Amino acid sequence: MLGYVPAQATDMESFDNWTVQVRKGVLELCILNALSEREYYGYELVKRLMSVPGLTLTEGTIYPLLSRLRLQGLLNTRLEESSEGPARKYYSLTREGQKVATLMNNYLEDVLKGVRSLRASGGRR
Amino acid sequence: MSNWTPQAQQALEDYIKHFRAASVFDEADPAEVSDDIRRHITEDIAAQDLQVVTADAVWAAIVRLGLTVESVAEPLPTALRGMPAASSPAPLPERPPTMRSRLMAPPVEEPERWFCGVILPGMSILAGVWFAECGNARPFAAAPPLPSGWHVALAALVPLGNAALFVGGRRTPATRLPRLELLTGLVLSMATIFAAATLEFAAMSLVLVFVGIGVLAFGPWTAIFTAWTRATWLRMHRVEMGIPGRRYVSTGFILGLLLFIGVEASPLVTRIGIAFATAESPGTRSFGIRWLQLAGDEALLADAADGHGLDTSSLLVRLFPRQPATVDAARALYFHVTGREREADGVINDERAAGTSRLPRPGGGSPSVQLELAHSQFDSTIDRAGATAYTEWTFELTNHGSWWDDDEGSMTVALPPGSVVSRASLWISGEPREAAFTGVAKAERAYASVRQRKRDPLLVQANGPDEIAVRCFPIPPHESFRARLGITSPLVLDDGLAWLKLPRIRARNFRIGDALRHQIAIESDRPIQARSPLEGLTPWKGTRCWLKAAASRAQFDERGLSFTIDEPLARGAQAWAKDDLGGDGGLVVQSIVERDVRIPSRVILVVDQQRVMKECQDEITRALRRLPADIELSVIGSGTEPPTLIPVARATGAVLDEAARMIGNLVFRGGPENGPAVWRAWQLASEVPGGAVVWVHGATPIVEGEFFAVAAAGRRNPMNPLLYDVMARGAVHVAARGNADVKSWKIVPALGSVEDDLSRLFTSWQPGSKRLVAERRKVASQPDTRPADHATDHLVRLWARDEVDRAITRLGSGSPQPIADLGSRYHLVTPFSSAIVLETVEDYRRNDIEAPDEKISPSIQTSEVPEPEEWALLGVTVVVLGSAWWLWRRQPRWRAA
Repeated sequence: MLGYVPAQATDMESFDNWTVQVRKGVLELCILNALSEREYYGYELVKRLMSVPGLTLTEGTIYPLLSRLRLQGLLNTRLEESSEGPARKYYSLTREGQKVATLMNNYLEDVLKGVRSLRASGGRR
Repeated sequence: MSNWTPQAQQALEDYIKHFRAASVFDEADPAEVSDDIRRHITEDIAAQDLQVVTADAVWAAIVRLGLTVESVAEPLPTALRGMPAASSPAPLPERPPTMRSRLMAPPVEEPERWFCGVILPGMSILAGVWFAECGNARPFAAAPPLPSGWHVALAALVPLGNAALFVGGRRTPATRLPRLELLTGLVLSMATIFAAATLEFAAMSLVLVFVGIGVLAFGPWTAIFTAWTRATWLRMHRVEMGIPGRRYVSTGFILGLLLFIGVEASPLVTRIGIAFATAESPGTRSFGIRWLQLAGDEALLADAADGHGLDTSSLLVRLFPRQPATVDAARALYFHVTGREREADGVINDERAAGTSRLPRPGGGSPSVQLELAHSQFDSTIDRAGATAYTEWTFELTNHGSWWDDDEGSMTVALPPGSVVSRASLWISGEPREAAFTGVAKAERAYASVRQRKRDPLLVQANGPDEIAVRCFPIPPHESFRARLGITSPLVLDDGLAWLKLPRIRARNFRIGDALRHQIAIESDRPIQARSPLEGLTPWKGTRCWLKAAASRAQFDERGLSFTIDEPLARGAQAWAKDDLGGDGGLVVQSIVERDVRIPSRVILVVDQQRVMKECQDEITRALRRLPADIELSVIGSGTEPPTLIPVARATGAVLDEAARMIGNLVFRGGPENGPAVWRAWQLASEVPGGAVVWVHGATPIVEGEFFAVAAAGRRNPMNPLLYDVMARGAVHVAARGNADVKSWKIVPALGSVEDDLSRLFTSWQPGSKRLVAERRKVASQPDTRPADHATDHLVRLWARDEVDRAITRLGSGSPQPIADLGSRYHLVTPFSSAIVLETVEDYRRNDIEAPDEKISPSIQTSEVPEPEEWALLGVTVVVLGSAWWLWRRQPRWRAA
């Protein structure tokens, strides 16, 4: 669990709005990063992402995003039969997806560096 | 895999529908997302490992996955509102199963489904196979017709396919559903086809249901029902699982039809070809034969030629009802298509067919693949003085069959020209027993009665001029049957040589292995030459001349084996032999006389375009060079409309060149008709006095149509024109088949190669040519006008054979009994007398046949003549003994010294 506790109701509402925005902003990157390790089938990928603290995802949000990334050419999909249930739909990164993931990671690093530096300088003041 | 209730499937679809309606997909593909969600839920439920998935299990999964109210906008389905938490799912009441839901619910396979889809169709097929094995392809209304192994395999798809669907369907992942639907379509098509095939017996089957077995006829129908319900469920299930495509069952059905057509294609194409080939119109017939040559199934034609109906080969053939009306017609068709005689081809060249081929009547017997010729030995002795030869063929048949399977050996044997069977022996209990000679009918009756009692009979009958049929029975399993035929032959005096030809098997119901060698031993008082290369050829000259050799089956099959002796009899030579056989004494005197050769003014050469004749193409063209230039020549091909290759013209070098070119360009295919060509040649030859037809042909089993016209014309006018029958391949001259009385048909003996035989004929047409003829007559005492040599009593037998021929020519409507008596008295197998060996004297007495007199049977003493190696040993022994004697005589002198 994250170690933060909002103090008041207005703070809570403001915090909630902000976390939704952050989650929404990094969700695509999380998907791309997860798939940069190896390919996952849908059910497995969702479980993997849901295990990331703070993301609090549902299938109803992940699958539309996966579909959009596929349509944008960042993901590949393929069907593979499974003896345990329905056929599995495997997702993997395209070359384009890898490039975008790299760009996004670099960008996020830069942003986080800036955020940290601001936080450090603010602290010193 | 879990079993989903219809309510569960409905709940999932309801949720997906509302999810799709309520969600904002923002550049995503709604269908894809919906599928992904469906798959996710299904996978989640599969991970629960539920036996039966109900609607509330689906909703519980949706709740568990956090997909309920947050993801789905209003209006929600009634069942979704107030959905309890996943941790405490409340069971939903389910309606009792309807008939439709029972049928549509395959996860639980009820026993009746197994019975209708697998057991009953399987039993129907087994019954069909069993009845077919019993020898009747359409035996019984209760069993579907299964004409071939391929049909059985197709029919077996029905129960096997259903079983696979029942067993595999429960565990198959959703992505394999299309394959299962394909399989269902396949099963449906097969079941439909075989159900339709039993349709005509449906009424009878309904009656038979009451006696139990008739229910088998409904196997295909119940299989259709179960496959249909399975197809419906699979389709629904696949749709529910979101797997696209709609035509899997119909595709499977079409695939099944294509498989069936594939299996039926060969018999069907053959049957269509037969319909053309047996049409009235000659053009259509030719088209049909060509069709069969290109696309027909030779094995099916062979089956038809062996007397098996074509209906047994296919289910669709009944659409083409025309088929050869008789076995003979089927054999003729087989010959036209393949160019091979079924009687000889089936058993000589194709071991597979050995078990199915029938022998030509009347020498026929039960076909057997178990019998094998184990030993074959020809021993001949040539009597130069009498220009005769006597050959003993000893053979042994072995039965390799099962312990209960006695077999009958049967064959037809082509004899050397002018020969006659004068001895037959059968080994009983290790002892050779000689044959009795009696009337044909009496011998046949005796053979049948003794055969019925499984005693040892051997029957030798005439099967046409220069051909005999041999039957022997029983040949017990793993035992051998040994017999001997003695054949008296005149030497053929031709080309300055005396020729001996060995008999050869024409058709048989036993195998001859490639390793078997016919052993040949010939002795004469003159050196003997083999006319073809033989294995282990060993000539030997002592007080008598010997030749030993071995020949393979192929060498015998080719054109038979010929041998010659030097220094044949010259014109004016006489020989005599005392007649001790006829009972009335006297002598038979033979004179070698010269006869003028009738030189034709016009020769029409007919070249049979049978397939095997291609090997003789060059030989014919080379032999044509021997034709005298002042003779007119024309060359005709064969077929229903025979082509004229060379119009009538003097046989000059240019014409012969053109003839060689045209013959070289001929196409040799199948077994074309020769009758039209021979008839046309006959007409052309008739246009001038002294015309002649030279017909060079392969085996010709069909002697009908125009041949009858030629024979009739030959009977009316026996001298013009002459027809020379030159047999290039095969064993029996056409002239010998029912046309022996047509004196204008001349057989050119097959002594050497085709080129040799034709060359001798053409060379004999040189001006001033003479031919030598042996004339035999019976006299009271030895002629004293000129010196005569003493000949063996085979001279008497040949005279008797001549007498039989003359009597047959004179017979008319008179009684044949005197001819039969003549044959029996002289121990000859003729058209009216046969040779038979029975086991006991009692057998002879019971059948009113005089027991054989072994004293008057001819024999060869060759086995008593030492072999060359034995001569050497004998010489060494004599030398050793002589030396010992000489030393012994000298011993006293040594001592004295």
